[in-house]
Amino acid sequence: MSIHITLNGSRTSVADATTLRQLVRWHSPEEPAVAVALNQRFIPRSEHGDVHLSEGDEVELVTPMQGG
Amino acid sequence: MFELARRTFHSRLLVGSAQYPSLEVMRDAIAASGTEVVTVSLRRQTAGGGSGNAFWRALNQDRLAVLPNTAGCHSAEEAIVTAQMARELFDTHWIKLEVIGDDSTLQPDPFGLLEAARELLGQGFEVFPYCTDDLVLCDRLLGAGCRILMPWGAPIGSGLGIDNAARLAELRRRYPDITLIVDAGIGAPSHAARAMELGCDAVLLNSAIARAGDPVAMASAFKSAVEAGRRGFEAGLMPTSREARPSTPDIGKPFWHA
Repeated sequence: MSIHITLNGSRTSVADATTLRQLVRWHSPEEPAVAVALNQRFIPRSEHGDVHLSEGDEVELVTPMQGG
Repeated sequence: MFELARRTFHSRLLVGSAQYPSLEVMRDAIAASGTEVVTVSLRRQTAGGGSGNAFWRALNQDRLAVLPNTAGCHSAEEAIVTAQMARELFDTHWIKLEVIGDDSTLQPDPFGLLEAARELLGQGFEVFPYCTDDLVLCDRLLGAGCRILMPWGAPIGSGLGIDNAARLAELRRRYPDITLIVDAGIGAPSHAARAMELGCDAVLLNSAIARAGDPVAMASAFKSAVEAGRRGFEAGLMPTSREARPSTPDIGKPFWHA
């Protein structure tokens, strides 16, 4: 069974009960530095394995970029 | 030497990492500027990675202190979450706090800024607030626990220079011991020198170097300008006067005017 989430602004489907850690590995397998917000709340890396996604969740995965 | 958030640096120039023609030019310009603190940001990760990865690797090799920003945030809530993500991503509790209140001038929202600053200070962040030169706002930010103020000189990316010299001088006079950094608006080395002559502790700029015809040469020019401006401030500028004062003594002149 799959659920629908919004990932970086795009609607997508993932397996039910996917963890944030699994999502990060699936989406950014070669990216060593990714930070995560779930439903506008920051989720520390240490908790990624414990947080399971639910229908309608909004996930933001961010990475370093140039800035002024 | 220059103390910034309990760390000691040699350079009083903080430089942004955006808008350079290439990563190589960015690194060369940063090296030429002599800066030890570089601002960075974060963005949505695209599937499969991208240039952000290469950028971060390049910057890491240069062993610079990084100052992440919350650019693009329009509310305290957004800025707080962005700061939390930046802390984990860049492994620093420093945050250049931007809460934008007006899209055409990118003027900071003083209310959202203060709200976010209070929350982040409570969470152990070292907040570098990008603010206007408003005295009451600055007073409230300091009252909340900020030890640094980063007022604008002019709107971000405008290159207009120091549009508010009297107000920056007043901030310096009122708060002689806080770290005062002009952030935004500087377009030419003379602008940076002016900010330093006013007694600012440092300047932060990006576009003026990155968008110059020769960013590396411009970075070197800014290095000299900041050093010259600081030395001028420390030497004590002469008092100004609207009336002329002859610089050559007229005692013992062989002739005189009736």
